[in-house]
Amino acid sequence: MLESDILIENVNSIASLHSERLFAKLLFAQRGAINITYGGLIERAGRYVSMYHEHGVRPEEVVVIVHNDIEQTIYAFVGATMYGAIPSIFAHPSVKISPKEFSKTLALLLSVSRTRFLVAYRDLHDQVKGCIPADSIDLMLSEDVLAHSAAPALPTANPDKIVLLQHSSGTTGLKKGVALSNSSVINQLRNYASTLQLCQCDRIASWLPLYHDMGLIACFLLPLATGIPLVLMSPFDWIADPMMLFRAIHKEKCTLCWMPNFAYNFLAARVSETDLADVDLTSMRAFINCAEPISADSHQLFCERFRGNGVREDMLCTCYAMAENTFAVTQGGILDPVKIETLDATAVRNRKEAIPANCRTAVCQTVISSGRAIPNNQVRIIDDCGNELPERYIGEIAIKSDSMLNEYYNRPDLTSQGIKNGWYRSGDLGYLADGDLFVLGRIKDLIIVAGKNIYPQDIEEIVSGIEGIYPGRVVAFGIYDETIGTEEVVILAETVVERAKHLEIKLAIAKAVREQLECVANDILLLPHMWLIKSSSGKLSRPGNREKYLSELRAP
Amino acid sequence: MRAWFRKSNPITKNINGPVDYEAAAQKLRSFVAAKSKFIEASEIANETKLFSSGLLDSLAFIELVLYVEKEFHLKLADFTEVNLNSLDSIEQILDPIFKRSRNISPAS
Repeated sequence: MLESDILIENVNSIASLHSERLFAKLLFAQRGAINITYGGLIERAGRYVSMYHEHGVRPEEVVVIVHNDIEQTIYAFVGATMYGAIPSIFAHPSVKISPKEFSKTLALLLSVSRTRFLVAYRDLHDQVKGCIPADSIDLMLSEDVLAHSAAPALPTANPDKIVLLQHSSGTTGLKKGVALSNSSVINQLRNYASTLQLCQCDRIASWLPLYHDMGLIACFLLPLATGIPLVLMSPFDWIADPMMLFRAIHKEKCTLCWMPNFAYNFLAARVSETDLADVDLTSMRAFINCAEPISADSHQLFCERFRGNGVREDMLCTCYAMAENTFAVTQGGILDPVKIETLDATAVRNRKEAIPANCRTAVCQTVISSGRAIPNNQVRIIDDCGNELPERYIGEIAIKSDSMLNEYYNRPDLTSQGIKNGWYRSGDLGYLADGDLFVLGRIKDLIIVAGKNIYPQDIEEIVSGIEGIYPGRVVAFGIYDETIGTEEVVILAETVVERAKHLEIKLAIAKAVREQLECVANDILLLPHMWLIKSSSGKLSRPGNREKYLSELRAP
Repeated sequence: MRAWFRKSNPITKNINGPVDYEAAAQKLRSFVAAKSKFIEASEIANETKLFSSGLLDSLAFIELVLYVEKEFHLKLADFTEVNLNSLDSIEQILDPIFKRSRNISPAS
């Protein structure tokens, strides 16, 4: 397993030895299931190799993939890797966006990726036809790929060469491409496979999108390069029919499944008793909660709800991960149960110390461990000056590993800011106790909705540009909702426009944020000028206005 | 407070007998307004976009589908494609249903 330092060589070697071995079963709401064998995968991806060649893609050039079909996304991605090009998957628009807006987005995506090569589908082509300048985009349609005959992989010699880009969220123009080398990806897969005690009897079930690190690395490249079968469905199909996941686990006897925290609440609330009647989840080894703050309550809710179907506490695992480290940094719950601590909330707030406390005598907060560092990963807690802090002191989480990004693609400035002496500063707050990492929150005001990172400054910039809004007088923040297990987005904006026009402005805000960030604002409030408060530094305060919103505007 | 005195919630209120287009639309307006914090039922028109507008997210989509199917005793897939683009407004949801019959039966 994972003998080569080159990603695609591991795939090739499985394909040449076991051409009929199942790589993935794709489940679709509309058209049933498709099995992809390793032999079939190499053949279909080989057609993309010819198409890339015919279009004049050069090895080491980026190929952007925006597709509504996971099967074609997989072939296009593997084909690019076989060709020695650098694949980068972006989300396709889930609702119709005006062609003009969307072609602007596409042009920007390509320009941040420094390429003109785009793999897409006919419907998207028809939507943007006429809006795209032909010289800046070379559009390759998956519908045309069948006309090509399969070509073999080109040899890749250097494990340090970039193999793929993962993208941080942010408005299109601000996206940072996390460039990962073959060796970083392979090191991550080796480190993580050993922690998970991955074996050929495992089977992964996933509904995660491939443009997200958890979906791409844990639920696509890990099975792809190790030969562990994957059962994959689209996030849109899963959202519309959450039972699809459980039916897949039951039928295919899956053992591993990664999901962000909200999904635990969503499944517990959305799955009906009748649907659950004959579903058996006892094949599972681990449900791994990752990609947004983990709530012990969500685990308990999930466990209680599905206990009758075979879910046990020891199946509920946790993970701390980031695209900059390829994926996982720590993992909990595989060997020992996940630790939960009750802390003295006052000591956390005032002294930045994590002191276990008794809830009968102190105000407490419950935190859940994200587990221990996986092999070849180190975790430190540092203060503002970068000095290492002792156990149980709260500070910024810094990491060092052999699976770190090569660079932010074509952004040497950001690369040198992010990594100092080999240590990457995560921007997350946490503490260490007996080797366990506990993550408490963010240093920066990041909003995480259903596992997706949203930067409030992106929302604020978009809203500032909307007619009727006082430019620069906008604040966005998240509020954790325990019923849904994730954050809600709140936007406060100042205006002097008469009340009659408020609805129109709110709808314009909702639409702009939806289209540019694929994010839905749960609450939008228009306020009189000078309502928003500033921090001592003279800038609008997100935490301050969040408090003011909660105390003055939010209905109890 | 006695239960019979409490004002019934428009979303869960059962109407006996068939529902006409406007009554059905009113139910959907109330549903959408309950999901979004920044719009009132009266501010939602039949052609107001629900998903592409950023009013509702994809998690609310499944709730809307389940609500319509339960409330009106039907399978949306029998009338239209079930996705964010084909059910993006109240009229997109109701037109295909009412094209078949002038009234629909609510849940009893």
